[in-house]
Amino acid sequence: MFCTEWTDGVAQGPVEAGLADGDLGGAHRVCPMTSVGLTPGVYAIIEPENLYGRILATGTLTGSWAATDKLELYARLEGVRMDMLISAISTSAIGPGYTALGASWRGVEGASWALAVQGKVVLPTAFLHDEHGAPVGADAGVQFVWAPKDVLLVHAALMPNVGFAAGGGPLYPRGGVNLDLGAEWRAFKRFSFVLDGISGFGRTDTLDHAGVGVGFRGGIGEHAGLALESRVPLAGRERALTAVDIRFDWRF
Amino acid sequence: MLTLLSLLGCDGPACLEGDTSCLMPSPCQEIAYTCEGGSTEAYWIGPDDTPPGGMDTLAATGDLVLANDRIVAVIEALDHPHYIAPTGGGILDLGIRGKDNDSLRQVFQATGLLPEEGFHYTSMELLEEGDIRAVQLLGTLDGYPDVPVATRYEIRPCEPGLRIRTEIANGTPDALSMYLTDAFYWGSREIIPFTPRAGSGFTHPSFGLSDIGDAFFDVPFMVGGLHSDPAASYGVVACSEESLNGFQSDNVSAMGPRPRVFPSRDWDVYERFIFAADGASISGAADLAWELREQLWGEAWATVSGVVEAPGGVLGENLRASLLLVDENDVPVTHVLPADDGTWSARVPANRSYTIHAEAFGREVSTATVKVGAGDADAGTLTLPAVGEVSIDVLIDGASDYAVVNVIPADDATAAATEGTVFGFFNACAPMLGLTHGGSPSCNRVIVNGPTTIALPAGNYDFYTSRGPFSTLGAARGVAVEAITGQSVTLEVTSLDLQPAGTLTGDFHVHGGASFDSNMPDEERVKAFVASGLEVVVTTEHDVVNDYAAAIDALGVADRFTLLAGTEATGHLLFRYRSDYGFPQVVGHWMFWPVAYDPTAPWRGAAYDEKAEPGLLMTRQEDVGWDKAGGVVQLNHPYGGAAFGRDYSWATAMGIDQTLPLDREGSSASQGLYFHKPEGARYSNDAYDVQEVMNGTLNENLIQYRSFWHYLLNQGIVRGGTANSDSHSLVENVLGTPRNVVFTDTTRADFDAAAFNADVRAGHVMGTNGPVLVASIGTNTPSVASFAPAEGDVLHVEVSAAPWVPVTEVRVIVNGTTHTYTELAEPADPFGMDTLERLGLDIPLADLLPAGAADAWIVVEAGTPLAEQADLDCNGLPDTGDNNGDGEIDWHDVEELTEDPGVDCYDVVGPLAEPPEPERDSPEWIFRTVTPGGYPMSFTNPFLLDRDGNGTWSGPGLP
Repeated sequence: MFCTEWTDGVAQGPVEAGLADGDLGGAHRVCPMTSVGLTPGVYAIIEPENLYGRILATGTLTGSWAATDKLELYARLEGVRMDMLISAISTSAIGPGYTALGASWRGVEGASWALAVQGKVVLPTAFLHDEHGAPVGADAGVQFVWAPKDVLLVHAALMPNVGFAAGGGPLYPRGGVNLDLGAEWRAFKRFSFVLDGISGFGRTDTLDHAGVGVGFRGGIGEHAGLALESRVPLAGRERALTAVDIRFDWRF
Repeated sequence: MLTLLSLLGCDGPACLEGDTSCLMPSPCQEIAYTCEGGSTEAYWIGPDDTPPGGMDTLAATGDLVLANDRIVAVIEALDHPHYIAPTGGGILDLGIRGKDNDSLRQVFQATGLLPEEGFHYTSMELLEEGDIRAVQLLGTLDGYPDVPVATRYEIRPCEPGLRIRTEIANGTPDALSMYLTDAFYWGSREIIPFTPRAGSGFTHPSFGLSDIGDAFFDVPFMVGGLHSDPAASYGVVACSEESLNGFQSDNVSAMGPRPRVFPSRDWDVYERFIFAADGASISGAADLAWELREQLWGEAWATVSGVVEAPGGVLGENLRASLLLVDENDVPVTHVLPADDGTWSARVPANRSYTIHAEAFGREVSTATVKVGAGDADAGTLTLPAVGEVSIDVLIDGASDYAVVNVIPADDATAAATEGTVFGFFNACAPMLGLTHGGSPSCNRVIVNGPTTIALPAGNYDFYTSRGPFSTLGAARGVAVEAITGQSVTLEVTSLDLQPAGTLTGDFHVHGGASFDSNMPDEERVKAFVASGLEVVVTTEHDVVNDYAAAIDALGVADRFTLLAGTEATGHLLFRYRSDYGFPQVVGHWMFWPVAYDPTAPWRGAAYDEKAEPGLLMTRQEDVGWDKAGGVVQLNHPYGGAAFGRDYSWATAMGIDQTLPLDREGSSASQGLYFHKPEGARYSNDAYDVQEVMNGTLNENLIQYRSFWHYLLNQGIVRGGTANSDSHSLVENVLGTPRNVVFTDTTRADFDAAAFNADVRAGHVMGTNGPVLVASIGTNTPSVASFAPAEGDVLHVEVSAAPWVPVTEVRVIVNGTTHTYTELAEPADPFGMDTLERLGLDIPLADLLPAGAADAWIVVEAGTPLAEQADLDCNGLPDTGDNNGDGEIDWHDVEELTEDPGVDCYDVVGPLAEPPEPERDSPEWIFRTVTPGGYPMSFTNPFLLDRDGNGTWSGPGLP
């Protein structure tokens, strides 16, 4: 089974550099791991013509627990979230960011494929950013993974997601679905390349985004992993030029 | 904690979810005022209602009055937006009940500086809750329909202001940079803001759009005051925040919570109290601010009082004496104008020591200290330096009459001892006799009409006046003014036979207190009209119309000049109209006259002038009654700078490259905008009649204005040229300097406005600030109409001028090439009456015109030599002078360059050079005594020579 073939420090699964807070709507790997990690990330909007720019830098702590060989529980805590808005009057904020708690259960599988059910909740822990509103989000969906070759994984994820704002103001309920399709190619034992086609619908507009995700993932020994990942929206309402993560993981 | 409270639903927004029946809660619950007989009222202004008065009042039929027993406020109707606000819903007027002293331009809400960040209100509802009256406005940000906003203005009995609550939520998917603020649009030259912050008070850092972040400071409150009566002062304290944050200038103050990242789906509520107090300066409002701070935040205050003595001078008149109180931490806390009897009092934070800085005539003259405990304190008596008095009379042709007298230090010691400012604002004056931009006395100028007494610091002074350029220069020089004692000065002015027969003089660009950037009371302005000797005055208030009828009647001077009311369309709201430029802009300033004054209309008869290209401005103005065929539309100061990103000038905004021809197809890119016809317009942008060639007494941008004029002429695009003062006060530009001499058959006695305007449109105009220039070719005179020259025709030029006007050269400009003639007579005595005729010249056209039969144009100028300028950015427009005086114009002359950029065409250029500063008592210096900063200059309109005789004039083409 492919999960056992990819067991060292090299990261797995779709590109996770998130376009949404807490990576709402993003798919997770289907192979459970017990790990901890640190992920610095940057999300950037640069629109000089609108006198608008946004640089969002995050430092995210991740942790996951392989409860069984099919079930992973995980958490993502943005320990530092620094948001810089560049406009005629520029502003910035720094503080803790959002917290995501999720699970992935590889419920059905064959010799070279698997179907996992995944989901997470995103909690409003960015206290110094959201002064009054308290955005809460959740997603739940499925991911299908097929390994046509030992070094190649093809994944497809469909992740419906919802969110609203608690906190006494307008609720702003939003719902949509993300559809990602991609492949991971393990070119070397401890290096893989991932290319995803990413898309999202209905959450902020008919087409939230359509674009690509790319990742370069390496393993350092049996336990450590280092990945550079990016999502680049090419169409849709999403204004970001890119979201980029650098992931350091230690797998137990 | 706030988030936790919010999660429990405490104090959340009430009106951000599209429910128009929502009701926002009453703001500022911690504030309480009581009184006997308090009352409130609220009503929509009807056509028969008399709106609150004051120099800045703009209330119109359809606006809403919120009033109580203390104040009267006007909230503009939604379809009556003013200035920078995209819709109505702002505070337009605010005054003390019964005082008619509205001094407020506008307060509106925004979340930033960009046009899309203004509040766009879509509903406005009047609420009555017991004796509370309120208006609730709902809408969105102008450029963000997914950002709902709501504001409640509330008035209660006994209270000196409005309670205000604003709610906002970010319904967009993106984080926004939000500065939730009240923008106090002062307009410039009017209210000066004051903040109690260490080292601040009236002193605020200057800033531009690129460094505005450095100008934000936390302050407990902001107050601002007009400094001339009838005046009110204003202030704001936050109820929902312990301090306010923002920036200050004489254009705009912005006060609100600190700017912050506004994440998607976050919301905010801001409550504050905006208040008004009677009287000049800011102590009235500051007293209220300290009182409110005690109610809101428990900060104790005490009253400190005292007496000021000023031997030889009466107190209480604007700058004559004032007191700035600064605490032990260098925090200015208030500023007081003593009463006429010298008494004063002010509230200050308790339990501090204060230094009292006494100012007089714009200078600090003494200090004292006072320790204030928990109770009231007596600061004792402060004695200011003694001053003298001078009685000034001006005799015009032997009789006392209105005149503007310039008071100039006669020696360097007096200049150094008397130079002052209005609390650090505006330009310095020596002596500083009164507010720089107020009524007389103002800066170093005073309007007299018969013997008029002014107070003056001791020193030696010269006094100068004239009745415009066609009179002698009245002067009294070296007058020694001593403290306590009095002096009398009489200036005699004689009219000179200089004005050409069959002409009327006119100034087509004049502002008064109705303009957002003028603090000149109507009567003072009318006195200046008379003093200028102008025969026709076109009043052109920014965005509005004023006919000065009440002031003219009050002074009984209706027979002294003819007034044509107009308006200067002045863009405030940035919008995107230029397809080859990435940023929103405005379209500069455009003049329309005559426009009927309507005291009940939102812009007093003018059309709404925002977000419109010139062609659409003309259409809108026509829609409200302006006669396009019989009136005049004038392009004002074609090139210039910008204020807060708002271009003053159309040619600058278009970004025209004068090395390239205009695109006659009229695209929306820079070379095409000139001919562009905007959507919804009946006219294209080029459908104006005349352009300013001279603007302002200093005449600093003449070179660029005439460059644009000549650029158009070269392409066969003919518009008449005009010369206007653009005067806003007694100080920055002298009314009627420069002026137009209009060759017309109509007369003052039987004035025909249509005929006069027709002659203006036809270019039957000579512009001048002194030299009189009459030119002809055969029977042809300058005009926008062409003619075929006859064989052997000569250009005949006659130059005359008052003896105090130096004229050293005549320039004949043919298709942009200049021929200079310098054999002019020089008067021996600038204060005399001789040598008016300076030059008579006949120049064969054959000596001027290029070979061939191509059409040509000729413009004649007279004056002193112009400073050399160069075009360093290769767009054909002169932009930089020999500013370092090394005889070469290069990168060393560019203010912003510190090293050679190493390219042929620079990215940054300027400034233009001015003629050299004249030596004292030279002819040029004497000219400047009544033409501050200027140099003599006059010009004719063009002769258009249809040399090929085809009946049309097509221009010689670009060089």
